[in-house]
Amino acid sequence: MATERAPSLPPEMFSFVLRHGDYSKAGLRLGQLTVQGRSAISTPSLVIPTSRGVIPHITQDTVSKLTRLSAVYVALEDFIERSPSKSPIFRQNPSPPNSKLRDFIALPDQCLSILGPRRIPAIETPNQNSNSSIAICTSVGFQLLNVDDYVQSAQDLGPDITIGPADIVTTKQVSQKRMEKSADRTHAWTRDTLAVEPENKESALFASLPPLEPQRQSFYLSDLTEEYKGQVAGLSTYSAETAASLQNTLEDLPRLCLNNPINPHELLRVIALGNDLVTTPFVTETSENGIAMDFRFAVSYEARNQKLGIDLWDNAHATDVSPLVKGCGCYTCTKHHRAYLHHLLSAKEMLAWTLLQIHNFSIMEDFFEAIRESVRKGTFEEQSKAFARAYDPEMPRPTGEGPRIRGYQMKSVGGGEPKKNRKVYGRLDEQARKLEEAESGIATPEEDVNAKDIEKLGLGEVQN
Amino acid sequence: MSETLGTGKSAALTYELKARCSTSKARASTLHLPHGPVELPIFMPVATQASLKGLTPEQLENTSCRLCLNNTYHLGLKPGQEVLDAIGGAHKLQGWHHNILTDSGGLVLLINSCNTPDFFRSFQMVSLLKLAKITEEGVRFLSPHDGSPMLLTPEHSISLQNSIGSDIIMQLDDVIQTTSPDAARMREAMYRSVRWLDRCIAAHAKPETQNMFCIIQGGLDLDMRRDCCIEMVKRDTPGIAIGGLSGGEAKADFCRVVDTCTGLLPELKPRYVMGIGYPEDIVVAVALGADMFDCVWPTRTARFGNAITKHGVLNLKHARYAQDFGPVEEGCECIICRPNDENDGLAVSRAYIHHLAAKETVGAHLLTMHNVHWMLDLMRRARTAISEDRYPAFARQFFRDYFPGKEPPEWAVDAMKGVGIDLRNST
Ligand SMILES: [Zn+2]
Ligand SMILES: [Zn+2]
Repeated sequence: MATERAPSLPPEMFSFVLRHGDYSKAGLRLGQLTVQGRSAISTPSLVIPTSRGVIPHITQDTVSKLTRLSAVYVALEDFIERSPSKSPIFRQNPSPPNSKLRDFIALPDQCLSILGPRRIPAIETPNQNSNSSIAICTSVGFQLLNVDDYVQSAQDLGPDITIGPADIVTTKQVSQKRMEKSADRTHAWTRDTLAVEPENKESALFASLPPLEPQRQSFYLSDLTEEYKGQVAGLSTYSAETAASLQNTLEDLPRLCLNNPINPHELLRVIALGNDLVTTPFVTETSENGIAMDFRFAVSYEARNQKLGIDLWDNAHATDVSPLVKGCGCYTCTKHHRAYLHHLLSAKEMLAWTLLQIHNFSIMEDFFEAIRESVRKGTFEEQSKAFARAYDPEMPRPTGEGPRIRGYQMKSVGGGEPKKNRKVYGRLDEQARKLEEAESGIATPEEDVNAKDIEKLGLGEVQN
Repeated sequence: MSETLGTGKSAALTYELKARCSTSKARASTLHLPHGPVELPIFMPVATQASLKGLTPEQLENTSCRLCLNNTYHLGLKPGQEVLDAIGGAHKLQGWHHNILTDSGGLVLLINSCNTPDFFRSFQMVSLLKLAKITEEGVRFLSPHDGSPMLLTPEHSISLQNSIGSDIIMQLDDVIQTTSPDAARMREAMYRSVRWLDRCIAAHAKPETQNMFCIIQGGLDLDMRRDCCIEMVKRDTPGIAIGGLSGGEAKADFCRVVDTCTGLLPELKPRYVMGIGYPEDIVVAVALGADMFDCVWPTRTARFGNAITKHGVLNLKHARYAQDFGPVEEGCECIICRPNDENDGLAVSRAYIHHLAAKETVGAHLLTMHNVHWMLDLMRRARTAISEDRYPAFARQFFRDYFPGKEPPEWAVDAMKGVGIDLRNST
C-alpha cells in the first residue's frame, strides 16, 4: 500500500554504494554516499554536531577554507522557541537550489546537512516523550515537539538528510518494557512519517532504529524491509551495537550512528560494528578543553604509551614554537605554534578554540582517511589492535577553563549538576572582573546587562 | 594617487603626503612602515592580547587590515617579556605579517584607550586608578595576577615594546583625566610626559626598526597643549600622537584640542589621535587634520550583537531583527554580507546573527568581521574623497546617512565649521 502512496527518491538524488564489506555478515564496511549537489562522501566518515546551526567556534568561511568537513548535524530544537511554525527559520526565502535550512545557517556547500529533532548529545528533559511528541529543550525552556510538526518542519526546511522521529529515552536507566515501548512508538512514528507524501522529495529519510535487539523489533524491521524499501534512504541508530545486530537486514542502506563516542578507541569500535557515519561531539569538547588531538590510525605495531592529545594549557608550551603536532598539515599547525595556543588559552581568547577546532577536525579527517585506507588494504583489524596498544585509553584530562557554557544548554532535571563555570576571578574587585569578562571569552549573562547599559547610554541603537 | 606632495623620512618610516583637502585640514597619505605601507587616514582595530575576537590573522587580513594594535600592558602580563623574547616578538607570536602598533602600557592602567561609555570608564577608573600611582620614576600598580606591587617606568615600557617588536611604539606618558580641574597637576603631568619622552628616546634600543611616537598631553587647556607640542616636536619623533582624550571630555573640547595640536605639528609626520573612536568622531577628526585612529568599540560592540551600518548602529539582538533576512548592511562588501555568488560571500542574514548573538562565539566572530570591514571601508571612502577633493561633500553625506532623519550633532557642526565645512548645507 505504501509503495503506491509515497514514491521513492529519484536515484540520482541520493545513492549509497558499498565498496567493501561483506553483505552477508555484520561488520566493518566501506562505502560512498552521494547526495545531489554535494561532493560524494567516502564512508566511514564523521558528522559534526552543530550548535544553533554553526560548528562551534569556526565561522563558515573557515569551514570552507580550512577544513575538509563533509557533513553536519543540525538539531531542530536549536531553532524553535515557543511555537515551531512561528520560528524565523521557516520564513527564510531560500535561493534555489539551497534549502531554507542551508540558507538560514549559511552552511557551506561542501557540508551535507542532516536534521534531527534533538542536539547531540541531547540534554535530559524533565518531561517524557508522549505517544505523539518528543520532549525537547529550546533556548527558552523545555517543551514537547509534536512528531507531526517535526516531520512537517523537516520537509519545510529541506535538509539533505532527515532523521526519522524516534522515541529515544535519555535517562541512564531504561527498563526492558520502556525500551519495547520506544520501539513500538518509533515504528508507529516512522509509519506515519512515510504515509505523508513528502512535499520536499530532496530530503532523504534515515529511519530511526531505537536501541533494541532486532528480534524484538522484527515487525518494524520487516515493515522497513518489505513495505518502505525505497522510501527509506538510510538508518539512524542510537547505539553502536544496533548496526551489528541487523545481520543481513537492510545492509545496503547507509547507517548513521547518532552517538557520542568519547575517544578514538570508542570511535573505532563504532566503525568496526558497521556504522557508516558517526557523530563525534567529542571533537568540540576536546578543543574547548584546550587539548590538541595527537593520534593517527596508522601507528607502528611497536608503539606504546602514546598520549591521545596535548594539553596546551601546560606551561611547558609557553615558548614552544613548534606545530601542535609535527607533520600535521592543518592551518593551525602550518601557520601557528604551541606557544600561541598556550597564550590564547591563558589569555581566554576565543581564537584558541577556533584554532584547536581546525586542528582537531584535521586530525579526525586524517584518522578516517587512514581507516578507509586500511579497510581497502585489509589491515583494519591489525591496525586497530596496534592503535589500542599504542595509545592511552582516555583523552588527557582537561586542566584549564573552557568557554562559558551557554546557559540554556545545561539546564538539568534535578539541578544537581556540578557548577560548569567555576569562579576564576577574585583578586580585583567586581567591576574589574566584569571588565575582564567584557574583554574576553564568550557572552555571559552579565554582558547582557552591560549591553542594556550601553543602550541606556544611547550608544547601542541609533535607528528609531 | 601616484603624485606626492611631500615626503617625511625617519629611520624606520616614510610619510608620503598624497593629497590635501582644499577646504578643511584633511589629508591623504601613505605611511611606509617596516611591515608594509598603509594608507592614511586609517582606523586600527585593537587586538588587545595578540588576537582579535576570535578572528584568524587571515580573516583580519581579509578585512583589508594592515595595521592593528596590541596592548603592551596585557602582553607584558601574558605571555610576558621573557616569552616574547624567546619567541621573537608579537608578529611571530600571533602569525601576523603586517604592522603592529603598541601603546605604552601605562594608559591601560588608568583608562581603557577608547571613548567608551561612562560606565565602562568609571569602573575602570575606580578599579585601576586606586591601584595605580604615578611618581617621577613611573607608574606604580598592583599586579592583577597576584596583587604584588609593580612599577612601570618609561625604560621598562620601551623595553617591553622592543621585545614585542611592534612597528610603532608609544612613549610612556603621564595621563590624567582631561576633565580634571587641577591645572597644576595637569601641567605637572604634561612636563613629566616630556621628561619621560626623553627617557623613552634614550631607552629605545631599536629606532631603526621601530618607530616611537611622542604623545601630546595638556588636558583641555589649549595653551598647555601648545607648550607641549613645541617641546615634543623638538624631540623629532617619527610620528606624533595626541593623547589624554577620550576621557569623558565634551566632544567640542576634544575637537578644539585636536584642531589646536594639528595646527602646530609638522606637516610631514603622521598624527595619531589615541582611543578615537566612533565613526562620527573620526570623520570630524580627519577634517581637523588627524591621520590615525584606534578604538576597541567596533570589535567589542560586535559581541553585544551591535552592527555598525551606514544608517547607524543596529542592535541585532533586538526582536525586530529575528525575521529580517536581509544582509547586515545592503551592499556591504564584507565576507558576511556578500551574496553567495560574489567571491564566496557567506550571505549571512540579520536574522541569523540575531539567532546566534550572545549564544555562540561564531555570532561575535561574524559581526566582528563586518564591523572591522565597515570601519576600514569608511576610511577608504574618506581617503578617496580627500584625493578627489570632495571631503566636505563626503562628510555631509556621512552625517546624513549615519543620523537618519536627524540633524548632525552640534559639536560636529561647530568643529566642521571651524575648518570650512558646513554640515548643514544640503548640497
Ligand atoms: Zn594540525
Ligand atoms: Zn558587512
